[in-house]
Amino acid sequence: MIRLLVLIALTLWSASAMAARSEPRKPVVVASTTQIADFARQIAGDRLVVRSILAPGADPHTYQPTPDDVQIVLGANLCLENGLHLEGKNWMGALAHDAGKPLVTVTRGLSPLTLGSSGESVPDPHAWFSLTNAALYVNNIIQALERLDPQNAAEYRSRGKLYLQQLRVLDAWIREQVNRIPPQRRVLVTTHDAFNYFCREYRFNPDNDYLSIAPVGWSTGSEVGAGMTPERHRQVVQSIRQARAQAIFVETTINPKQIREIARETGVKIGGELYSDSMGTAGSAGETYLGMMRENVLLIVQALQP
Amino acid sequence: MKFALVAAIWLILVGGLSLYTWQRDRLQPAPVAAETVREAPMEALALEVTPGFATAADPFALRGDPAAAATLLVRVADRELYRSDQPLPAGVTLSVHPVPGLVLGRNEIYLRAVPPHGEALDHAVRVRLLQGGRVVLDRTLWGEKGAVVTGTLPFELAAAGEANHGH
Repeated sequence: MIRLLVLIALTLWSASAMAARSEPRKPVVVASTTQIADFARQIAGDRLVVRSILAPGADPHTYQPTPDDVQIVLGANLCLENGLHLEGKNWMGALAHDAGKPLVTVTRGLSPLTLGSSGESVPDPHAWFSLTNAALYVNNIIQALERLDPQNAAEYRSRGKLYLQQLRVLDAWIREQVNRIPPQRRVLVTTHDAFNYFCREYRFNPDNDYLSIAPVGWSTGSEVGAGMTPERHRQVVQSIRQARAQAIFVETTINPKQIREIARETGVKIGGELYSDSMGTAGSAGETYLGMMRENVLLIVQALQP
Repeated sequence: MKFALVAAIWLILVGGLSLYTWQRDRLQPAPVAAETVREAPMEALALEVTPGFATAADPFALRGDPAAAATLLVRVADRELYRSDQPLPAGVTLSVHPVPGLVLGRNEIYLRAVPPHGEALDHAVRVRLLQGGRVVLDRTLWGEKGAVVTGTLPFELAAAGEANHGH
């Protein structure tokens, strides 16, 4: 009797093993940042495997790829990058090139804000902080996934269409929330220049041409216009005093030391920690792009409203 | 002997399953005959659409999607009754006459109108359907806080002279 049961079990096991083996391997998409990976996941559903090189909380400007990253990209069918020099020293481009993998820049077609610095201008790479730009990221990713897996293109377009409408709803919700902050109190000071698109879109920092106020430039790396200088520090302190900023904010991907120093120097409270170049860890409220934007806005409104 | 026993058990299982599925299919009721559909006379119908806001292109539209490119779209199933890819002024009533594609009985109109980006206001579109000068449907669709005004409007059409029921 036992032999009979073993025989039946073996038959069932071999049948299921054969079925599992015959399942085709899912194509793999590797994104440079957590935001791009999230956009791709929202569109791909379970049809594709989506992986991110950066972990939550990692800084794309100063990131150094590891041997594990090389392995991940070697297994990819498609690579996605932000571009506009977000990936410091073009590390995602180099990874994809060395592995011979196709690379799509998801900011293609975008009109970036340009930041002037000592006669040179650089494009601001933090374009996802404008929801209409996020829609452009999503549209570019939809096209890339359609080309990668034409068989399931209709599905990607359907998911993408729904997600785009969610972005539109989020955009309207942000405007409603920000409206609770009186215009004269709409002063947003953050650690680095990541929030220019956000300030421009939602009318923060009118005295700074609706651009972000930050002690560290557009990048935490060593590029032109990046890093912190005594001049920038002085300007930020002056802006905080002149605009009577109600609070200043640290960022999840950057050491908060500088902003704490400025808070002490100016006597302004720290409003909390914003998601900037990376989303939150799995299980946190900021683990998706929608969640990250929502939590940022709630924090900013809470800190700045009367 | 053991092999024969395994084969017998296998046959009993497979045979029982086949018998069960055959019996189940046999007991299923006969399919319902397809409903006969009569088209409503399009000449007697007029559709009026009045957006309370200036329509605009949607920056959140899916690229390459013809429906998403419209600033105002009115559709019955897959048939477009009206579409504009250009911005339309606020408060101006757009008339569609005749109205093809409607049937006697249950109908449903789909409408999508895009308000300007950056307004966190509530927006509305009024839709009226007239049959021989009589109002069959009069509904207002709303979109909250800058959302795209979108919705379906179900209603019933009766042959001229019979009672109409807008819902």
